[in-house]
Amino acid sequence: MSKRKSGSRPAKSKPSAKSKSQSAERARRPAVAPSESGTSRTWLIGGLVVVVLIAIGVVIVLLQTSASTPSAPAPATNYLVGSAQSCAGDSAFVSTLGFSQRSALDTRAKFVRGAALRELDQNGNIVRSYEHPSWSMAGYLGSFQRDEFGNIYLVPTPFINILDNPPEKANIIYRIDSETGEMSPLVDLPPLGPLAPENPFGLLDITYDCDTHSLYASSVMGSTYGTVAGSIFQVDPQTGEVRDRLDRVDAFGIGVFNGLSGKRLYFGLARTPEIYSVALDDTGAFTDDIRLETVLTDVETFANEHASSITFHGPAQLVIKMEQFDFNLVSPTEHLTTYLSYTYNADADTWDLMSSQKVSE
Amino acid sequence: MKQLRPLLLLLGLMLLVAACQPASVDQSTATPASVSLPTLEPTLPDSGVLAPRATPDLAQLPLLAAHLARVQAALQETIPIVPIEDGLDDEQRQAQSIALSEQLFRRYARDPQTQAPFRSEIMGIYPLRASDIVEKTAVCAANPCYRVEMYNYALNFFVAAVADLREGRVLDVIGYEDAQPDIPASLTQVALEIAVHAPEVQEALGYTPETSDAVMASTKTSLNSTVCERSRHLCVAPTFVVGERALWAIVDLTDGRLVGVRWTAVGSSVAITEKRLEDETIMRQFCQQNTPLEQAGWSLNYTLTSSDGLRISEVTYQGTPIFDSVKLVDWHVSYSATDGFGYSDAVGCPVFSQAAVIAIEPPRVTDMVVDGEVVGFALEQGFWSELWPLPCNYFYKQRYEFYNDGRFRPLAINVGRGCGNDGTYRPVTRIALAGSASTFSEWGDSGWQAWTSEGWRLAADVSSNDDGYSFQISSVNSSFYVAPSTGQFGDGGRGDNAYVYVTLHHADRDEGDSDMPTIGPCCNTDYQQGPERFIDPTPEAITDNPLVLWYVAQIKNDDTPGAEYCWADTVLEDGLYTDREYPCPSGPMFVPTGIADANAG
Repeated sequence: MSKRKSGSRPAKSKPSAKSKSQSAERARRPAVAPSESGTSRTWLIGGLVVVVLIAIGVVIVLLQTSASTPSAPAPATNYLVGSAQSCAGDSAFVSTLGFSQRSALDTRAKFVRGAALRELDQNGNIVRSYEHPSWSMAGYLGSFQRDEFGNIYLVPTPFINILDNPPEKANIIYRIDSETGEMSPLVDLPPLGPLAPENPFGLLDITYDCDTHSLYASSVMGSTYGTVAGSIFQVDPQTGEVRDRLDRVDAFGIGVFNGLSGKRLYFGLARTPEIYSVALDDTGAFTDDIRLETVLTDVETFANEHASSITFHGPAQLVIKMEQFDFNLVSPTEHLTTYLSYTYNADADTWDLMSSQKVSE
Repeated sequence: MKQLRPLLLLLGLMLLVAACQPASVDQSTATPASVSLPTLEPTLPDSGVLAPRATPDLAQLPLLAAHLARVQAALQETIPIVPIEDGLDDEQRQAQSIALSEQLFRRYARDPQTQAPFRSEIMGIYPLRASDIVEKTAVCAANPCYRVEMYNYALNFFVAAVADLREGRVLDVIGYEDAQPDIPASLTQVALEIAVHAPEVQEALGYTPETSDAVMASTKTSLNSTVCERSRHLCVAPTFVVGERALWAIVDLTDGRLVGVRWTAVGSSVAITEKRLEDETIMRQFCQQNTPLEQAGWSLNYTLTSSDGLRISEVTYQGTPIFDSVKLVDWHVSYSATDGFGYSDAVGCPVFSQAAVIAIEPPRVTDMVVDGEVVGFALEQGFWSELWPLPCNYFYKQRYEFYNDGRFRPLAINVGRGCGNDGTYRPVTRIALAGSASTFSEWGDSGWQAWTSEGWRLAADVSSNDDGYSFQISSVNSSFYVAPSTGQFGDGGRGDNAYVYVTLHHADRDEGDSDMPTIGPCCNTDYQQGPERFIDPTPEAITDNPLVLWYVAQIKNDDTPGAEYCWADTVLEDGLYTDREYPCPSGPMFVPTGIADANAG
């Protein structure tokens, strides 16, 4: 990814990146006739499904191991260039329950408190659901990741209020055991400072590095309007031990990528539309090599959006999900997000923006 | 089952709305250098000021007046679109004429159901660039083509037509939702006029600027790009550079008013938008500090909280302490059609808060006038969901009424619209009485009967005296009757059917003095709304003690035409959608016993 300090837009026009769902608009206003450029939109809707499936990070197919083998040059470290997140293994409990390979874990707060396993038919319809009794123990959940054994690691995320998500439990990583399907706390990560009553959030995102067998989790617990007190943790997925931490950073979405110059953890800031990365050593620990990857602060349509998800695919694709986040419990009925898709420029060890798509969830 | 939804529904009904266009970012290839972790931006001491909402004074703004006159005239025309009249060459004029003749283009200027006109305006006419040519406009590689851009103010919708001058027809029409085109020179002048006449701009600059002062040397333009993402209005930002600082004046061209001003350092790359200005200003001025207020014999402080709305504290009347604090802890919203369906909303600060519905405008102090006479003043604060009045979005108000004669009323007001017409709203108000020795009484068969221990009552179950009062608070320094609303206050309220709780105010135990998290679930239909948690298992004695009074109104909404209550809608007027509000006010009146008894006598 490359630094982007200045915005540009199509000449003589300003099609906002913060566009609004046509269907939602119709809910409020009388419908307007569709664009005559319907062909391009139709294509885009088709394309969106792909984007959603690869980037949403909330619903993942659990029994479809992605064992892609990047065919890319070796980086400065021992790892192949490409995503470090592509080893996710099958969760055995899914088969035990008799659910098919078209199954997904759903943590969307508007539909489930906790998590639910959904089995889908060929058309994507939910044909049945399952909720283990332990899956609601943490209240509402958000981001999750699997390791190579099919264990699932989840973080709690409050929804509308904190009745089910007490802030003092917001820094607990939960683990669903691959074999039993039972969820239990893995670790309660220590914040830098005391809980701040104005900030109901703790963990925001989680990712897994298949090479160093490390969990990484971003937390903003203790941060206030005037103080950055968040941390990014490196955690042992088996023991919950904190191996390393990067302090004084309020990070939202995180992801690990093996580039030509080595392994880096990318993180989006929770306060501004900026993406940074930090180099990781061979054990997955943080180094002092931190760099600014991209800045979108000057683009008015991105002014309120932050990178909530950073997902690498294969050897050369990066999808960043941008959404509004204000450290409050506003839960808009129309949730607008922007998906930025990048391709890795191996020659320069940077990322080239390929497309931007606005969606309403 | 509702859960049997297609995959796309499972994924949140994600719909593509804008289109696969390159993001508004450029693509350099420089390898990033190592940097330090980011730190918070330094805060400028006078960073932002929000302008009060007011109808523009058209006598002072002749360009705006003329523009609005053109808009009104256009709305009466067959083609209700304001064209560009000045500064066009022959080809641009021809392109505009071709576009305005095209039904596929014009139809965006009317409501498709009612055919009522939308306020629409041609914003620009530009030669089509080679890079803009697509299959539908391939002929433009050889023919002279223009892109004619129109903005629909009502829908915040931007539509462009590609006009082929040689063939005299429109080749393509493309729409962009929630988007704005660049504005023409005439509107730029209107924006500058609004900015330079705004008191907030003049005060910030320290002088009355000329329109020519708004020139950014770096861009050779007078306007910065901005967005009004909350109001979804057409906004631009005339910018005035003074030394090393730049003053952004965000102008709303839909309403013809200044949104506010904010200083930045020259060279700052941070875009200033309506939301950013509102959030920062409210946080710094009202969330992070108390504001003192003295008026009509009343003295108090007020502040916006993280989750308890607008809190007033240290309230005195004519020097006598009346309340330690008053605040709105929760809104519980339940819908009867679906058992257990509803929300428990906190209201509060726009960022870094536990609020689900937030303040996006500052609190206001207004006079209360009855029969032409000022009888007191009101302190009012609104809390909005950003998409209100769309379904499942909310608009709550708090209003504290302070009367010259010592009466006081804390109101919790809902303005819809919620998720259905079967909603019941239960605002939870906490009132901490001043003083260490208060007694709470209710009217009964034998007159005023003091509550001896913590407890609760449904107000409707308590009889009232001849003057209509059911409860009384008495202390050494002051005594009040407390009158729950039964619709007697002439404010449109239909009665609260309220629960009243009294708990001991502990000095050594925080039972709500600090900011409270959500204290109750959405959907309990009985007294269990949260305050009962502070009644000990063995209720504590409360006679002649410091007390907290809790008041939970129960208000049923109604969308029956002509009888709407706790409801909101939109109507198309003069080409724009305007909100129709049907508020349901609730809250008890505190009446000094001396006044009440004198009136009764």
